[in-house]
Amino acid sequence: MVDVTNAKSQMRKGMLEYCILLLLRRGPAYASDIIQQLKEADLLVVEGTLYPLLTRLKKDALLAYEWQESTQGPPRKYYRLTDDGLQFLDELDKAWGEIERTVSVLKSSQTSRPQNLIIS
Amino acid sequence: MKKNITINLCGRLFPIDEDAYEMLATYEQSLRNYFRTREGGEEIADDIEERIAELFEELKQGGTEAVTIEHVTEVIRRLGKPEEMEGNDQPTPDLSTREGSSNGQRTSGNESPSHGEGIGVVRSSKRLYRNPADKKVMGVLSGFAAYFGGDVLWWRLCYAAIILLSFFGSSFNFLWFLHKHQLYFHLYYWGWALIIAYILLAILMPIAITPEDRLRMKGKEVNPQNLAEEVASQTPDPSAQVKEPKASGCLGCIGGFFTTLWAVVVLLFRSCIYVAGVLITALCLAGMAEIISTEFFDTSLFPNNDSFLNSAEGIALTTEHLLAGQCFDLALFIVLGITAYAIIHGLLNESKLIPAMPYGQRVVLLVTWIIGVVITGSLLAYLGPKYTKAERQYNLRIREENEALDREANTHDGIYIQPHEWEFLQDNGWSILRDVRCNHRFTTTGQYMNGDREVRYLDNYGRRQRYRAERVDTLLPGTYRLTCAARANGTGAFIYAIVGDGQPIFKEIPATGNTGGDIWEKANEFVHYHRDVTIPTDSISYGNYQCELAEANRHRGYGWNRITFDPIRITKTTVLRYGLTSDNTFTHRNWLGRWFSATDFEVSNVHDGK
Repeated sequence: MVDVTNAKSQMRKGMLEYCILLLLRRGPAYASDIIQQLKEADLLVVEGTLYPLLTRLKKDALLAYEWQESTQGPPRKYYRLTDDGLQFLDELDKAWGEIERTVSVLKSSQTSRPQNLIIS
Repeated sequence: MKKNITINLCGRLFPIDEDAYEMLATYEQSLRNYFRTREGGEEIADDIEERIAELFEELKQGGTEAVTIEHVTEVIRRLGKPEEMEGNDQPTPDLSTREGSSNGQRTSGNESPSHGEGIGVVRSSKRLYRNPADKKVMGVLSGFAAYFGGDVLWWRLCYAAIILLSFFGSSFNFLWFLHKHQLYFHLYYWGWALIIAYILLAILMPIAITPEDRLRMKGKEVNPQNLAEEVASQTPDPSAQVKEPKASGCLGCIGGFFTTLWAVVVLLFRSCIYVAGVLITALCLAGMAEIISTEFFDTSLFPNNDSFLNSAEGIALTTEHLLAGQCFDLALFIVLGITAYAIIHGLLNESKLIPAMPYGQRVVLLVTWIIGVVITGSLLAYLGPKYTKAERQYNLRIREENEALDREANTHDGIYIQPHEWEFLQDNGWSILRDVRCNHRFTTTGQYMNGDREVRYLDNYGRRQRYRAERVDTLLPGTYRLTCAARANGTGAFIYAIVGDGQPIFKEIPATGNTGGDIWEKANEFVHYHRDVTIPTDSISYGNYQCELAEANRHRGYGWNRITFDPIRITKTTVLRYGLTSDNTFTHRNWLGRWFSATDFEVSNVHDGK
């Protein structure tokens, strides 16, 4: 069981950045919105994980934010994808397609214990 | 009931319980510590703080009046520990390098995890702390149990058992094997060693006050999650305050009694400790003030009649060992100072007025104190005998001087007479003319003929002593009678009388010893004769006196005899010298007894022919 949990979290980790970018492609969002959606998708265990990621992505100029007045309380950061971010996301889309293909090929040819192949 | 404060979180106000606030502040601090070294780390922490504010805002919207510790625990659980955030972040850089993402190893990140952990959250190993949460004395054994494992009960039992065994073990006969192998001797020291070790450990081991300390004590990782749990577990839970259901009936009664008794004992013990602490502190401060006063102002604060230190011997001693004395004073001053400081600090800390002494300070003070005690002790061992010796010399000198003064004051015509005797002799006109082996004693009290213990009379006690006490009366021509009472326990003691320059007349004192005597016999006869006779009123005092004489010394008398010189004829005005003597150069008879007494000398004029 431990192996499974660990493997799952490793998979999630790898996907998290991609998913955030995907979310932002739909439109700008507050950090809390991102958290909300990631949690619904069961991609986030602890919320704190998001913030170092956002900061790093911003540092890499893949996304940017502006201060947006909110209905309640002080202004909040409103994140959106930059052009670089869009390009980067396209790259990731391709990569994801390859992974998906590989996985589905492997799954169809060999039914037992697929997760071992991926993580080992 | 909890104290509630309002905090400003990202421009929004939230009422929050104090303990919850503490936990939140600890969490935030650990976050900031963790991300501090990172580029944009401050921003991450700010963002997370923002998120906390949002979550609190949600609570507020949901109708929560005040943020409690449970809420904070939940928020911390939701946001995660700093290294959990980091853990997810870690593999992402590898995404660009493809290869790394497939193996997903943490160590392949551009920051080594050990570095991140080292700076951010101290993942310390176990540390030895005193445990204030579960303590019987100072919490040392509780800390041991947390550090080395095992139930604290067993630690306590073992500790107490060894101490008790070592002190009372000799009375346990079943421990014969200890005696047989002479192990008992060592055991005795174990008890003291354990007690001293306990005291030292109590001083040296820091007390686990903060939640971080408690986590380290238990060997748990110091992270927000654990901290939250620890804080929550330490917070008095209202339900826990409710006492255990009381046992009903007799047992409950007895239990309650012992609980109360124990509380009283603890209270008394604490009060004693407080009083003793205050007293010792006062003594220490007084000692310090005295040291300053004597060292710098050369005067003592306390009235002392210790003339020794001001005497020649004392001054010689202090000048000879000036440096050692000053070192002694300095070391003692430091020891007293540290003692006073530690006690004051301890008492204030116990009263929760100031925080506990930092560990480093504790060690430094203890080490200094021990060094001070050692120096004080060795200097005392060095100076003590010298002091005693000089003081003995001083006392000897003073005694000799006093004796010389006393001799000078009490020597009259070359004969030493004690002041009270001299007073008696002066008052009664007696002079001591001869003193050989008289033991400086010429009069005494206690065996006067009527039993009056206060009456003083001429007396001497000794062996082969030559004694002569004389009185001089100037007499007009006429016939006189000299009477006195005297006693002796041997032959050779005389009453004598000398008229003018004539030859002395001696009358030997009968050697009746210290019972009977003719005075007593006559008194007995008188009493016997007057047994059935009504004594005339004017004779009552005489009769009473005869009764006293007869009853003296439990009806045995003191051996007094009447001695009479009669008649003494004086033809021209001249002096009559008379007295008591045992001087064989004067009497030409050897004195063979041990003691003799005489009193009631009386010269009376008798008419011729009467």
